[in-house]
Amino acid sequence: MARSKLDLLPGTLDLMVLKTLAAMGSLHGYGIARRIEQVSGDAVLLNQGTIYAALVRLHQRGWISAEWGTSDNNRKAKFYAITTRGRKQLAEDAAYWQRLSGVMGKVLASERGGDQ
Amino acid sequence: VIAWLQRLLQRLRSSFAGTRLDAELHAEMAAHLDFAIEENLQRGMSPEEARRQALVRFGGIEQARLQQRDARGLPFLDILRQDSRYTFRKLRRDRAFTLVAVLILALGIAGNTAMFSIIHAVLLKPLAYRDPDRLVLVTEGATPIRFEELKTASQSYTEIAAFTGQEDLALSGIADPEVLKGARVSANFLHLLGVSPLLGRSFLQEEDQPGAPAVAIISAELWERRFGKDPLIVGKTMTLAGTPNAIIGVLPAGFQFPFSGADVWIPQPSEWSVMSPRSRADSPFLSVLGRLKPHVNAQQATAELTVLNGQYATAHPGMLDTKPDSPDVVLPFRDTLVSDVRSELWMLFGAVGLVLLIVCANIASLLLARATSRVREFAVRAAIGAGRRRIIGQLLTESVLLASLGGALGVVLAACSLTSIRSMTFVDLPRAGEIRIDGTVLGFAVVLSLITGVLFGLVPALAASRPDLAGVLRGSGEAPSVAGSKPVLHFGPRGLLVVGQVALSIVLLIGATLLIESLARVYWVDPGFQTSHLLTMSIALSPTRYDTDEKKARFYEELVERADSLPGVRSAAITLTLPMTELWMGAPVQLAGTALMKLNERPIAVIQDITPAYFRTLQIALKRGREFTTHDNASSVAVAIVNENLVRLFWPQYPSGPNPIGQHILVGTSPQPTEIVGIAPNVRQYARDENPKPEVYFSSAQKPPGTAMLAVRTNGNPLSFASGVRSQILAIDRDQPVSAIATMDAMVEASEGQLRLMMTLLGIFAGAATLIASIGIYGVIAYSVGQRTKEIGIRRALGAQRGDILSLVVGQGLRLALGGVLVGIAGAFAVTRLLQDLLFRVSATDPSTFVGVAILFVIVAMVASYVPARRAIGVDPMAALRIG
Repeated sequence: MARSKLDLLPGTLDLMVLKTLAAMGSLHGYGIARRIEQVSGDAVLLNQGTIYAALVRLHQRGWISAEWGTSDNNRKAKFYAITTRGRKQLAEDAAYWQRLSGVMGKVLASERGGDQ
Repeated sequence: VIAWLQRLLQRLRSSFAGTRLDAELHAEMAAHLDFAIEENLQRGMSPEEARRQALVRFGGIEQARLQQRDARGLPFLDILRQDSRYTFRKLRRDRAFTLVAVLILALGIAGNTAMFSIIHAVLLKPLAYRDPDRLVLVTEGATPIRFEELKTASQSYTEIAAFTGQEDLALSGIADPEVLKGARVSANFLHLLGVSPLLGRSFLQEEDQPGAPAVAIISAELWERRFGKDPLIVGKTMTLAGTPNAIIGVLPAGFQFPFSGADVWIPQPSEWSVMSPRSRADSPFLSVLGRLKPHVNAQQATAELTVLNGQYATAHPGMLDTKPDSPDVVLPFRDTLVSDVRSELWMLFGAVGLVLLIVCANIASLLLARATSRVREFAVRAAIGAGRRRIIGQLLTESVLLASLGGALGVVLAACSLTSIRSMTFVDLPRAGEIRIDGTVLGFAVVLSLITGVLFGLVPALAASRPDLAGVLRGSGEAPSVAGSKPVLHFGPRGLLVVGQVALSIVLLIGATLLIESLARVYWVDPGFQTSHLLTMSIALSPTRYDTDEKKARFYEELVERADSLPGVRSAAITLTLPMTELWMGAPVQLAGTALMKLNERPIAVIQDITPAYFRTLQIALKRGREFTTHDNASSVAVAIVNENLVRLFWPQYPSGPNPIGQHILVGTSPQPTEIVGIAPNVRQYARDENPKPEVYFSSAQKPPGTAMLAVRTNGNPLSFASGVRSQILAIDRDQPVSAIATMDAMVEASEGQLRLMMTLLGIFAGAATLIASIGIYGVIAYSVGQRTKEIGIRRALGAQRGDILSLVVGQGLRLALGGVLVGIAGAFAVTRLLQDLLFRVSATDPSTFVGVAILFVIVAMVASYVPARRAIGVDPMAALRIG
C-alpha cells in the first residue's frame, strides 16, 4: 500500500476514464475504477463512487456511449465504451497533458538550478 | 456553441427526469458493489469483511449520488424548484401577508405598466408611415404663397406637402346627414408618407389645381360606417359640403394624418374653407410636412429654411408669415405630434415610479419584520448545513415569486385601466388609439416585476442570512437588535425604509397639492360670461349651396328666430367661435385714419361674427354703446363692437380720455373702415388660464361666417333641447347637419382637461403613496411595540404613567415621520419645478403648500402610531414581566 496517495487534479479523472475505455473496450463502472487503481499501482486516491459523476459528464459530452448489458458472471450492469469523438478528445487531452508535464518538469528543474 | 447548447438541453432534460435517472444510478451502484463484494469474496474475505471493504472503497454513497446529480442536471434549477415549492407552502400559510403584499404590488405594477403602455404607444413607437424618422414638420404657419415658394426653392426634401387643420364637411344627399372631419392635403401626401390606399388610388397632381373635378379619399372607418364596406365604392359620388365628390380611394384602417379621427381627405389645401376666401391668400394657415433627403438632417434643413424665410420676407414685406421674432425650426414630425403631452407623460411615469419605490420599501419592511420572526427557521436551516447564499437565494425566490404574482395581477389591472384611459374624452391624447398591452409592454411588466422582487427582497434577505445561530437556537428567539435596554428604540433598516416611504410620499403629495391649488385658482377666474345652461353646436354651411353672404345671413336669421321660439329657450345666437373652447380666428387690426402699418406689425385681434342676441345669450353686459340690431345688415354702415383690451391698445387712458365709440378701425386686409358702436367686457377666448386678447365682434348680417357655432340659453338641462333645435335646422334645410353638440360647461371642462388629468392622476398616486406610507409607519410601530412588551411592562412597573408610554411610542412614530418629511421637502424643492408649466398663479415652491403637506403628514403619522400606542398602554405590567 502506498503511504501517501495522490489527490486527483480536476479533469484528470475524466482523462483516465477515457484512456481506460480506449485501451480496454467496453467496461462497466466497477471495471473502470478497478482498472484505474491497478494501472496507477494504487497510487491514486480514488473514491470509486466519484467515477459516476465523471461518467455522466463524459456521456453528456458525447465522448462515451452507455448501454445496459450482462457481465461475464451474469450480472446486469451499465457498460460504457469510447466513441469516435471521445477518441479525438482523448488524443487532444493526452497531448496537452504530456506537454504540460514536460513543461512542469523543466520549470521545476530550472528552479532548482536557479537557486544556486 | 452548439455542443454547449446540446449539453444544456440534456441537463435540462435530466433535471426533469430526476426519478428515472436516480433509479438507474441506484441500480448501477448496486451492481458496482456486487462486483466488488464478489471479487473480495474470491480473495478469501469473509462476507461481512467483503461488504465492508467494498463500501470503504466506494466512498460515501449519498455523496456520490449528489455529485452525479449535480453533474448531470442543472443544480440551480433543482434548488429553484425546491425553493419555489417551499415558498408556495410558506406563502399559502401566511395568507394575510401574501394577500396584502400581492395586492399592494399589483397596484404598483399596474400603475407602471399602464403608464408605460401609454408612453410606449404615444412617445416611443415609430409612426405607421414608411421611414418615419425622415419625416419633419417644416413650418406650422405658412401662407399658400410661402408654401409654393418653399416647394420650388428648398433642396433639403425629397418631397414636401401642405396640410390644414380640421374642416367640417357636411355629408348630405343620403339619410342622416352628418358632419365629417375633413383634412385638406397636398395631392402627394400619401406618397410622401409612404402609405398606399386599401382601395383605389391617391390624388393626382392635377387634382391639386383649383377648378379640378372634386375628389375625395375616405377612411376605412367611414367606408364601414356609412358605405357598408361596399367593394365597389371607388368611383361612386358623395355630397360633401353641397358639392358632389368622386370617391377615388379608401385608406387602410388605423391610418392617422394629420389628426386622429379624420374621415375624409380632399386636395387643394390652400382652399381651406374655414378661412373666408378673401383672407386665404394672406393667412398663414398651412402646415408643411417634408421628407428629408438622405444625408440631410433637421439642423441643415433649418439652416436652409432660415435663408429661404429671409428671402421670402424681403420679397413679400408685411406678409403675416414673415414672423420676424419667432423663427421656424424644422422638427421631427413625431416630436411635433406629441409635444403637448411629452413632459406630462414622463412626469406621470416618474410619479408612478415613485409609488412603486414606496411599495418596494413598504414590502421590504414587511419582509424584514417577517424575517425577524423567522430567525429561528433560518437558524435551523443554517445549522443543518444551508449556506448563506442558499438562504439568500431562498428569500429572494420568495420575494420574486411575490412580485411575479403581483405583476400578473398588475397586468390584468393595467389592461382594465387602459379601457378607461382610452375613453377619456376630456383630454386629447395623440395616438391614443394605439395604446394597448402588447409584447413590449408585457416584457416591461415581467422585467419590472423581477427587478421589484429583487429590490424589495434583497435587504431583508441579507439581514436574515446572518442569524446568531447559537443564541437563537438556545431558545431566547429574540432578534438581536431588540436589546430592550435602549431608551430610544433602534429601528435599523426598517426605520430607514419608513423614512424613505414618507419622503417619497411627501414629494408626490406636494406635487399633487400644487396642481389642485392651480386648478382651484383656474376656477376662480371669471370667464366673463355665464357658462351654465348653454347648449352649443357647430354648423358648417355648404359653400356651394350658400354661395352668397345674403343666403348665409338669411339662414342664420331664420335659425335664431326658430330656436328662440322653442319653449324653454331664453335666447339663441350665432357666433364664429365660442369663448373658452381653445379655438379662435384672428386678424390684424389698426386704427383707421392713421399711417398704414405693415400687416405683420399690426396687433392681432380675435374675430367674431355674431347675431344681435349674442351678448344677451352669453349674459355679457356691454360697458358702453349699443348691441347690434337687425338693422346692422349688408345695406347699412359697417359696425363693430370691441372688447376693452382692444380699446386699451388704441386708447390707453380708457376708461377716461376720448370716447372710442364712433371711431373707426381697419380689420384684416379690408380697406373698409368699421365703426365702433359698442364696448364689451373682456371674456377668456381660449381658456381660463390664458389672458384675454383684443377682440372685434362683427354683425353676422354684414359678415356671415361659413362655419359657425350656435349658442342656446335654456331653462333646465341644455342637452334636452338638442333634438328640438336640430329638427328646427332640418326644417330650414333638410341637408344641413350639425356636429359637436355639447354643453358649454363640458367644453370649458375640456379646455382644462390636461391640468385636470394631471391633477387627478397625481392625486391618486399621492393618495396611494400616503396610504402605503402610513401603513408602513403603523407596521413598524406596531412591531416595535410587540417586541418591547417586556420593556414597557418594566417601565409601567417602575411607575411610568400611561401618558409617558403613549408619548414614548407616538414619539417614535413622529421621529420617523419627521425624518421623512425633512428629506421629502428637500426632494420636493428639487422636483416640483418640473410642474412649473402646468401651475397657474401658484409658485412651484409655494411655502404654504410645503408646510401644509408636512403638517398633514405629521398628523397622519401620529394617527398611524397612536393605534399601536393604545395597545402599549394596555400592557399589563405583571403579565408582561412573566413572559419568558
